[in-house]
Amino acid sequence: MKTSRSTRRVDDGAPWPVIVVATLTIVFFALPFIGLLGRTPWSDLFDVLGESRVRTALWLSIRTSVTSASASLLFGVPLAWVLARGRFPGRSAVRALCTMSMVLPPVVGGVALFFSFGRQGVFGRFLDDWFSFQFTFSVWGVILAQTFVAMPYLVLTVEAAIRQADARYEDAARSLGGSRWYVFRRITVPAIRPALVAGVVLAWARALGEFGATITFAGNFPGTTQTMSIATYLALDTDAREALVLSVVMIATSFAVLFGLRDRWMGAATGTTR
Amino acid sequence: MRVRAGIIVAVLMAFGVACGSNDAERSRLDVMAASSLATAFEILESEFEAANPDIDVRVTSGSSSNLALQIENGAPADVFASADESTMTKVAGFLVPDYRVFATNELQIMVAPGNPKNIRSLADLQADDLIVITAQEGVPIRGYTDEVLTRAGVVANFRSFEANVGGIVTKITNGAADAGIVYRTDVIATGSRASGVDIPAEQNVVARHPIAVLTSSTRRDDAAAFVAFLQGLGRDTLRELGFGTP
Amino acid sequence: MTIDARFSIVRANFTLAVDVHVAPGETLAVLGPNGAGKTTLLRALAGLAPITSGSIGLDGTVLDDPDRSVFVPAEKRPVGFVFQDYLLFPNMTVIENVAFGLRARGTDSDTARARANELLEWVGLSEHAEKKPGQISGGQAQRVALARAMAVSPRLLLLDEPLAALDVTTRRSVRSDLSRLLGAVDSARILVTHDPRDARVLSDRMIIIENGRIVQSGTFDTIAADPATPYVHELLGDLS
Repeated sequence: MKTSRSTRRVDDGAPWPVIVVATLTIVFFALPFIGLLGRTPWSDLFDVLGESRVRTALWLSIRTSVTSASASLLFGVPLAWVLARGRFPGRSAVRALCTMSMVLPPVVGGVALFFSFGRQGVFGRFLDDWFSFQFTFSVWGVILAQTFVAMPYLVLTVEAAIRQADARYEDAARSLGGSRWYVFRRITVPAIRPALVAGVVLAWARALGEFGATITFAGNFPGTTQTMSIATYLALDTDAREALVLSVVMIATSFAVLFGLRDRWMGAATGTTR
Repeated sequence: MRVRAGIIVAVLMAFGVACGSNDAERSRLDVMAASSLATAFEILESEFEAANPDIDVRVTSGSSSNLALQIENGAPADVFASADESTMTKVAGFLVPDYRVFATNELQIMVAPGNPKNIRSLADLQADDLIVITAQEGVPIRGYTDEVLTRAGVVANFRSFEANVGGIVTKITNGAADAGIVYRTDVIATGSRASGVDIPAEQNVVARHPIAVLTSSTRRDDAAAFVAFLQGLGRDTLRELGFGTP
Repeated sequence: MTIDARFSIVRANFTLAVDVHVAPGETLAVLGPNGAGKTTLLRALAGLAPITSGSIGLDGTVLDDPDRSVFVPAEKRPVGFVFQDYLLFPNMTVIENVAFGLRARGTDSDTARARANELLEWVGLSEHAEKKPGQISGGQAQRVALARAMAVSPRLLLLDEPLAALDVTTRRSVRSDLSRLLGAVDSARILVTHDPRDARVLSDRMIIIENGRIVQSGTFDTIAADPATPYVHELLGDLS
């Protein structure tokens, strides 16, 4: 009984052209990873991971990506709130501006960071004059570049959640005497918690994978600016074995994160799960 | 609406395919050139095409080591021009013997326009307050840089190992870094956005840029013609751009 | 009079112009068809929607008066609001919901919980204190919402369709419970409903709004005896 019923449901549910194309699409996404895993020198896996160069890059990536994700949360949530709830002219233009780095070629983002936060940039020159500080070639440059490209993922996720959240709960809280800040902390933030988790994880994953803006803006120095992504790219020219192992580590991490996130992200995106 | 969207997608895809296949009557020549040669090859490409209207040259540029990797993985190219001979030797099995050095280059210290940090020699690169950068190992300019510094007995405190010469140039012209050793032709190509400091001849090395036809080429005559052009008519252009011609 | 409000709100394709006065301990019912402006009236009184002209005063204090540039924000008004669908905060327990207003005003946790517990006893729900809103029935949720609104000792209590979310079988008993509870509240009360039975049981006086204007006011019996418009006639026809 059970089998026949589930079979019938599949027949009813999906038109065959959809199934065919969907299957091809799955294969399209799976093949590159199969190819990569097939070339991976599994026997060398732990040798390569044990190399201090690799461990340095891995540790730097973890530190910078966690910091960037935290910065995205701290600065991105207020921005998302303003974009979702604020009423001011040019809001769409502001949204486009603040999420553009997501679609720009990362190298362009890196060059743009030069003109703003670089030692001769409109803002960076003051940092250099007053504090002798420059982002480029420092770990802060990596964090800046990662945050620049990663934060839009959080902003868009959280903005959608705030839009979908029922603003009347905030009205109820205010009518009970909650200040706007108190209501934001006690009502708004808990209501969008799944989206916050999803947004932070997406931003973190993007920061972990960031390469173009980082190498363009921050440079490449082991322990300071050489992240996993940069090490992977550069190793491709010199030691393909190392590049493959690093790639496998990144793939495993990304898959684990997205797999663990599947319901939360879908829920936050469609508003079906609370 | 959905049908119309589907048609638009189909038209765009067809357009994209069509764009890739026009000029069918011209035979295509794929040239891979090190990024330090990219600007020169763009000019040489149009000159060569003017002289050979039936050939369509396509130049792909990248770091020599990256291009070598592509060749080892079967990239369908006809000609490979590297920034150094050791990269050429690495892919010797993929070359029609033998490669030829078609241009030489000198090394210079690239600094900000007008040399505000007053860098006069390789020894000045040891100053602690100076940000000096180079390329990662495996990139030809790194090999040349190490050689020059060893000759001068200088140990520079590098702050970044860029992916290629382009990374060094970008960071110096943007003011992020103070100095780096690059090819003289790179300094010339940046115009007023950077200055070059000469390295004395006894410390300098001559960078030799080799070129070869790849065994995978199906248009070896055209490829050979291009190589011959660089060693003949193209020499004037190369010299104008700051290269030496052996 | 506790509440003295005479104001208008002008929007793109809608104007609400009303004159509302309620005494302490009195319940005014506001009836009218969907879109008549009933909820907007409550939101204006609560400070969730600013008025365009006129003024709102509560016990002699001006809460909103655009001509004098006075606007007391919602969180500063001594107004309790029982919302349609109750809007209990889903991430908090029942008792945390009731204690919210006191906590928001800076009362310490123990005092707030003690007061919330008294209110839950008042509405007969103290044994449900630690449940989440999703675990209680609609009628219970309504009483929690009432307790929550009363926790801050409002001088004006607003109730927006407090019975609309309930199914027919429980409505009658919940209505009589609510009637009993409201009898113990000494603040002025305004009840919005579209059901004349609610108005008859729960209110002392009523006004009927159509298209943003008050078309009739008085007690249930005086209005039922002489309906001013076809809508009022149809609304009260079955009951009188």
